[in-house]
Amino acid sequence: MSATKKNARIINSFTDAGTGEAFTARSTVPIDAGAFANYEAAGLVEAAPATASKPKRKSASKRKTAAVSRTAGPSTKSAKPSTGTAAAAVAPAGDTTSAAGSANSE
Amino acid sequence: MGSSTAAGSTLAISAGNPATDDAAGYTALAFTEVGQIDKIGALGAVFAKVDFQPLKGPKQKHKGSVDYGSLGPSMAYDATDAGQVLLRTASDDATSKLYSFKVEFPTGEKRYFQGRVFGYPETVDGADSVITAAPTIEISTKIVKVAAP
Repeated sequence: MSATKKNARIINSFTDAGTGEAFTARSTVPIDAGAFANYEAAGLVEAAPATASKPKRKSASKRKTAAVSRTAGPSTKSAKPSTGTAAAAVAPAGDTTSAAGSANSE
Repeated sequence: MGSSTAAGSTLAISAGNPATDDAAGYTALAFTEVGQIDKIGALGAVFAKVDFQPLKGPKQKHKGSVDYGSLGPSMAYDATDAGQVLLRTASDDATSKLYSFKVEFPTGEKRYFQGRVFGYPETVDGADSVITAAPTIEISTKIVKVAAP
């Protein structure tokens, strides 16, 4: 029996006669990996979508946006920095030293 | 150990298959119990009998090919029981996929095997009866017996 758990999205309400557990449709619960495989084969559950990685993607795109704004010159988009290097891009257009420094750091 | 009634026996199913066809392989699987069972049925291998009558001496009886038989449990139909849902899935499965099964006696003894579900007929009888289901599980592998702990 696996001790690892998987986040499961319940498709249809069901009960497990062996464990006595009851699951409600449209809820998301952690289930033992072994039991999850059986429930999934029966069409009762599916893997819950992962949401933890989304913030990282957002910050990466913001970094790319900030890098584009540094090479293109000051723009309104650079008003929302999310990292230290992006913050340097907010500096006035005449401050080329800080922009170059942040570019070198990449 | 002495004799025992069948009360407390269970049948469980797994969509997985054991890495090895022995107690260790089956113990590593996760099984989902089938609920609302009132009978599990007969379980055991039957060998074909091969006769040879020599001119001199009695008839010889040899063991031929083995048939691990089939299991015919009966149960009250339950649309929300996970084990029954998986049994129905196995019955609808048109591939040759083997499913794993575990029968556990009230003494703690276990019987493991793999098989395919060849049908899941549902019976709607009189008003004073429960809607029942009687799947047929054809056993395709040797039945692994595990003693009570």
